[in-house]
Amino acid sequence: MEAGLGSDRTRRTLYLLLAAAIALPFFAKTVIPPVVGREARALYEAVESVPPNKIIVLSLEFEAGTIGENLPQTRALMNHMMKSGKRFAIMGFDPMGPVFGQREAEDLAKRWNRPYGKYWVNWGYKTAVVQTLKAMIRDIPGTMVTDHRGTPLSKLPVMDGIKDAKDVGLIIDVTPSALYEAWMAYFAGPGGVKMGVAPTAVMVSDIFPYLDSGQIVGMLKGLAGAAQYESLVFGRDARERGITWMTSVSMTHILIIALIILGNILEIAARRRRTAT
Amino acid sequence: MFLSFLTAPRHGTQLFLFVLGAVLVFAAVMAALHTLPPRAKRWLIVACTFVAGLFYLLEFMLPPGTLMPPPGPGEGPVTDNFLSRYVEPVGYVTQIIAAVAIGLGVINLARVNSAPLLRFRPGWQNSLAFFTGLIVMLVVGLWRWKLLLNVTTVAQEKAVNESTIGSLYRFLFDGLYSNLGGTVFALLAFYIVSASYRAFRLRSAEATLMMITAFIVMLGNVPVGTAYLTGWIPDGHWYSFLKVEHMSDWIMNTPNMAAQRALIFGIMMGVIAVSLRIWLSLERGRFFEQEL
Repeated sequence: MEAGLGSDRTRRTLYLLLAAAIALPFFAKTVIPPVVGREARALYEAVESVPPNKIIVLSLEFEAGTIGENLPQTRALMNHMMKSGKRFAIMGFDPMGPVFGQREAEDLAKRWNRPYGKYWVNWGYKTAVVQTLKAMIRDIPGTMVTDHRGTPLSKLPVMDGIKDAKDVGLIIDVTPSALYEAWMAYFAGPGGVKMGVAPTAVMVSDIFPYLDSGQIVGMLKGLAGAAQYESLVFGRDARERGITWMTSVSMTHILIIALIILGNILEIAARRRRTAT
Repeated sequence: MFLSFLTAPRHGTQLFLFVLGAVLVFAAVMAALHTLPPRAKRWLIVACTFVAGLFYLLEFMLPPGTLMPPPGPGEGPVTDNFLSRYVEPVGYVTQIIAAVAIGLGVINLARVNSAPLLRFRPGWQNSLAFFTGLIVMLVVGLWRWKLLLNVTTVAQEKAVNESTIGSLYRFLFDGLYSNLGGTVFALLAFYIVSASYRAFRLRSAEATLMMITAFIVMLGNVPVGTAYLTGWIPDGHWYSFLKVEHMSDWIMNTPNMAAQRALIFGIMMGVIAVSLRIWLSLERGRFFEQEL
C-alpha cells in the first residue's frame, strides 16, 4: 500500500505516537493541574452538605471495561467521604461494581483510619432495579437485610438511624450506563433525595438536561471529573490517581488536535496538487 | 398470598425440595406446552405478554390509594395502589426468566463451541479458550464462594483471600479479567486517533463547524486547555467568555442541551410506539413471526 493517509505505515506511526503520549507522562515527575468545573464543584459541595445523621449511597454500576474512568471517580469520591468522615454505603446493580468498590474502600480505609461497619458498608450486588429502588424508599434495612458478607445490617453501627429514603443524604451513581435514569425515576425523585452522577466521558452530553432541571445536582465528567474532584479534596498539585492519569489524557488530546491540523494541511496540499494537475 | 408463599425465603432441605419441585413443574409445563399446536402457543405468548404489560401499566397509572384502605391515625398519606404490593413478587418472575435466559445462553455457547473443538475445525483454539475460561472461572469462583459462605469478619475474609483459592481467584480476576476488560475498552483510543486524523477534514461548512466545536469541547475538558491555553485570561471581565472552558460550557449547556432534549423526546416517543407494538403483539419481523 502506498504511504498515503490510509497506509499501514501511517497507521502504525499514529498508534506508536499515541502509546508514547499515554505512557510518557507516567514517567514524568510533573502533572498538569486541573481547573475545576462547576459540575464537579457542585457535587463536592453536595457531599459536604450531607449531615452526620444521613448516609450517602454510592451506586457502582461499572465493569472492568470502564475502570479507567469509573475507578478514579470512585476513589476520588471515597477519599472525600472518608476524609470528611461521611457515612456511605456501596451497592450496585452490576455484579462487578461493588467488588471494585470494596477493594478501593479497603485500601482507603487504612489511609484515613475509617473501619468497615462504622463509617462505610457494602450492601453488595442487587438485582431487580425497579423493585429494589421502590422498596428502598420505604425500608432500607428491610430491602438490603445483610451486607455483602451476610452480616445483618442491624449489627453495623454505620446503619444506626438509617431507615428509609429520608435518611439518605445523597445518591451518587458511578456508571457507564443509563441506570442513573432509574435512580432518578424510582428513588431520588419520589424519595426527595439529592443525586449526583459520575458517568464515563462519552455519556456526559446526555446528562446536561438533568443538571439544568435540578434532578442531578453535580457530575464528574469522566476521568477529567475525577481529577477535578481530587484537586478539590487534596489541592491542585496532588499526585493522586485521577490527576496523574489525566495528564496522559491531556497529552493524548494534544496529539489528536495536532493530528487533526496535520491531516487538514495534507488534505489541502493534496487538493491543490490535484487542481494544478 | 400464593405469590408470597412461592417467593418467601427458604433454607436447607426446604430450599432443596423447592428447587427440585420447581424444576419438575417447569419440565412438566414445558412438555405440556410442546404438545400444543403452533397457533395455541402463539396465543398463549400473546396473552402472557398482554397480562404482564397490563400489570405494570396499571400499577404505574392508577392513582395512590386505589382500592386501598384509608390510612389510619398517625399514618402518612397512602402512596401505593392495590397492585403495588405485587410489584416485588412479580419482579422475581422477571429475574427467574432472566436467569433461565443466561442458562440458555451458556448452553448455546457450549453447543456452538463444542463442534469446532471436537472436529478440530479452523478456530478450534478459540473454542478451547472459551471452555477453559468458563470451567476454570466457574470452579474457582464457586470454590471461593463456598469458603466465603461462613465469613462474617474482615479477618476471616482476608484469610480466604490469602488462601490458594483466593490467590488463584485474584490472579484470574485482577490479573486477567480486569486487565483484559480494560484493554479491550482502551483499544478505542487507537481508533479515535486514527479517525480524528482521517475524518475531521475541512470539506464543507458543516464539517468545519463540527471540527471547531470538537476542538473547543475537547480543550475545555482537559487541563492543558483550561490551565495553559486560556488559563491566563482573568475571570469577571467582558472578555472572560474567551476562556476555553466557558466556551465549552456554553456549547454543552445551550446547543447540546437543546439537541439532547429533542433526542430524549424523540427516543421516548419511539419507545412508547415500540412498547405498544410488543405489548399488543403487533410487532412483525425476525423474532415475532417464526413458526413456534
